[in-house]
Amino acid sequence: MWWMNEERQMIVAAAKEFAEQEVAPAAKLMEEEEKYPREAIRKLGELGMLGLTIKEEYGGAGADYINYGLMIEEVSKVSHGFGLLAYLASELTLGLIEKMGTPEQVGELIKKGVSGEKLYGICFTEPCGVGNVAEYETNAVLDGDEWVINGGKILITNCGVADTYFVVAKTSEYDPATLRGLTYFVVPADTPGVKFGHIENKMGWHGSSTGQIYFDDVRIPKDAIIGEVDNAWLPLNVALLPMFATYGPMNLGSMEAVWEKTMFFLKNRIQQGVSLWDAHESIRIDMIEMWGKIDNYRSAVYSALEDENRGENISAKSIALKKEGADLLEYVSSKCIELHGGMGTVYETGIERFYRDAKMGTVGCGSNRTLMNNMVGVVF
Amino acid sequence: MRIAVCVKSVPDPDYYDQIIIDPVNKTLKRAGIPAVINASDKHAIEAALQLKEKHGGEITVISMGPPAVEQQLREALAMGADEAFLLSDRKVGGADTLATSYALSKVIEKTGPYDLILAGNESADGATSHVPSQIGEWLGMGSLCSALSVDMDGVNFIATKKFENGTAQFCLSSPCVIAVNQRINKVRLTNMMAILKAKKKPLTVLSAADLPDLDEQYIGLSGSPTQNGELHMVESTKSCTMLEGTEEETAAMIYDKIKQFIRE
Amino acid sequence: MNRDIWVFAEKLGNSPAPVYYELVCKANEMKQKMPGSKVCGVVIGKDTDDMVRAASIRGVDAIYAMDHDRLDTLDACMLKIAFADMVRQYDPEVVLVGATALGSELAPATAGKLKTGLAAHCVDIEVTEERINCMVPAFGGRVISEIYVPNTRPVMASVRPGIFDAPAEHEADSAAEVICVDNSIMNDAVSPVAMVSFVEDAPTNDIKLEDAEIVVCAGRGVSTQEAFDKLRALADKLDAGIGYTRSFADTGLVPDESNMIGTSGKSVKPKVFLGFGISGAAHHVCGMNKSDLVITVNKDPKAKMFQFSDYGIVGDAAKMVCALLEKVEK
Repeated sequence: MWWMNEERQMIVAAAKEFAEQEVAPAAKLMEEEEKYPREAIRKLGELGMLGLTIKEEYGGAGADYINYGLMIEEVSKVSHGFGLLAYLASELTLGLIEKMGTPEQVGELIKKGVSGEKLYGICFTEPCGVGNVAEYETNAVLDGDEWVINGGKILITNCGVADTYFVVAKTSEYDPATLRGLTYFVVPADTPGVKFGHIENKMGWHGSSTGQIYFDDVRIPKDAIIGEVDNAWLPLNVALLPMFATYGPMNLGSMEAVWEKTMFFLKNRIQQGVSLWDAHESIRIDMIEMWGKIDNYRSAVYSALEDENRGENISAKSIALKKEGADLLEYVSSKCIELHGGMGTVYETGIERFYRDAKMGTVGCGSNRTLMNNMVGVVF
Repeated sequence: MRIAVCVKSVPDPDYYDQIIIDPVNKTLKRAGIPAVINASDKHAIEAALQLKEKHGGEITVISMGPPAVEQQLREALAMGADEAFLLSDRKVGGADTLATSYALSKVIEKTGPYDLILAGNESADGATSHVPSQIGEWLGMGSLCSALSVDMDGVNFIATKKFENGTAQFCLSSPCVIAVNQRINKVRLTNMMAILKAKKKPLTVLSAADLPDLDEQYIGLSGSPTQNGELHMVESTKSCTMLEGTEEETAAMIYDKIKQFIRE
Repeated sequence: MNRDIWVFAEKLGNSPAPVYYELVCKANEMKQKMPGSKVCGVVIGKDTDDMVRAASIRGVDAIYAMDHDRLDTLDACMLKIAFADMVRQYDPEVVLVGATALGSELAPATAGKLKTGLAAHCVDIEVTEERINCMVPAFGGRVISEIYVPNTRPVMASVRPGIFDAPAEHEADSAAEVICVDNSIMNDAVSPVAMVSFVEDAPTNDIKLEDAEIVVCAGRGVSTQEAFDKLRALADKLDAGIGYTRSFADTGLVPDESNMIGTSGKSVKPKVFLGFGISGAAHHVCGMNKSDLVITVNKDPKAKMFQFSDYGIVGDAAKMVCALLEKVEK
């Protein structure tokens, strides 16, 4: 693997050890008790793993998307849902505001996020649809020295768990030609008027606390914004699109784990003195075919991340990685459940959870269909 | 406070069951087994980190071996050490524990002075536990092996050690050599930022010529009072009979065999 | 120079540690091939009369004793001064030291002072025409290396307790010559290490692993609290010693590694060794492969442990513990 060197071997070893010691027990509670893994995320920060795409002046390591990808891949081998939460705690919250805001606006926020001390959430989606910005109802009105925010957001992950939420709200009439009219606000969780609603019972990403947030005359200071007034939506999307590439290592780690577990099972499941692997050519073909697809995906993931390291815009590639990866993870985990027989459907076997989480990746952070269509006019 | 930690690069113990002896030239075949920092030495690095957190100071890691050992020293720097020295020279190669401890003591002399020298109590490959005591002897310092705790008390170090019938506490005047038992601590998870900073920390490769007053009669193969003869694989003298049946049946069989044997 | 074989008599309680008797026995075997040699016990301490008497057993031709106030310690840095001086005064060919907590440290410290060769943790010692070969395990016990000392004297070797056999009874034998070694070197002896305190362990009713006729050993396959409790009950019913592998010790179900069986733990050779859920890694096998009857239960038919066993059962180790316990209780 051309992207590996001795330093990255150390990164993988450190992330693997963290995944085994900290993520595995936390993931068990996520699945079995819907318990949010706050402590494990905090430790990610303490061990410097949340700042791998963040500038040094904000406490990060300086951006290297391959280093970051390797970390996400390792934790995702243990839990796809945890991989998602690690992604949310780093690129989606910190990375996004780093690209959008001035040092005065974001410096402290990022530093506290990188260290694991503070956890953030992002609030875009509304009942009308995350991409249907024209019909967003959440709005902010300037009243003297304060913004007053009213409205509500749905399907917000880290709901009720984050210290601060970054909220997209309308501040002017939305202009579809320029995408102007929306602003990105900084709303501390304990601000009066911030209310948390129902937490969804989802098929996958258990324990990620996805739910509804309401803003009822929430007052925040005039300067509690990221970027410029009215001009949030375009910069947000420009910054956000390449970040979907993180689904690459996330899906990759999970599919590798499912494949490895299944390979071990097939070689050690002995019936009448012969292993399943040795007994059936069809099983061998299935596994080797999947290996090929996974290997291809791995090359695509790290090639895209290297392109990003070299300053290329990988927006379209990122969407492709998100879509292809979700579909491939669904395919691999579906097949591997079957290869295990009845026990494949049993939670303790450890395969079926990846099948459920794979589906989440087709709609998490925006449905793949919408994202692909959004590329029309941008790339196509 | 300056702490030196002696670390050894060893073949990864997870692969030891794959080691075989070449039937033709009777040497060990261990190609392809990755090298790692000896597990016991990681506990020594962790002990040094804890002392540094409590009392301040600098941690230097020292090792001896071929140039590839640089990678293990980079890992030690990533764990939190401040600087590293590697003695890499054919002249010191092929050394037994006495010659190894002599060479290491010369590196300690050159790069010191240190207040404390730590090491793991035994290496995964040789497991002699000789080197720390012998470093102490070469340097005229006090030493203690298999320490279960180490702390600083003014200018002295206090360490505990378990014996067959009880536990003793020792006071060692500084500088001293202490080899730590693995149970002394739990090695902390590695910090990612520290891994990325490790490449900027100083790692110096020394040759025999850099060592002060090196007496060549004590180094390398010729300086080693012990020599290696033949190697043998550990083979079994038993042939196993498998017992079949239900749990109840096989349990009964086991019990009968035990009773038979004890009666004899 | 003479061909004498010295055996360090470490004090445990009020008499020599059990490993002393094992090494005296081995030394007598070696003596057969070293004409003119004497087997000599070595006593170092304060008020050594009782120890000297206890160390004078059949098979010991002489006792060298150094007695000094400063030697009432477990500090190897002080003891090595005495040990090295005794060796220089009397020049034995071989020095055997039990690889106990003290011995494992005193041996290399003394060898360092004498600039002589020391073979660590030998599992056997062979005397041939040309030389004395010490068999030393390496790579976790996977490989045994012959170590010899061609040019320096004495040849030193450390040996773990339980490796060599000792007769069940040791006969006292007052015919051993007692040499009170000149201790003047200790008058000005200074050690940078001081033993500040020693707290004895609380006495325990547990059967000592090394003395047990039957040993029940726990491996990864029984590493739950439930399974271990059942295993303990089984050992109790069988009057067996309880040991465990490193994998088992790593789970934290036991407070320390004191009954771990393996290269860095204890060596046992009971009449009966029952292994539950043990894979048979070299470093464990090294500590039990001299057991008479070995019976192993493991769910993996390819487990290496079966190669070192007389009887094997492929099955759930925890369930077999219960089945056996039931059988024994009846």
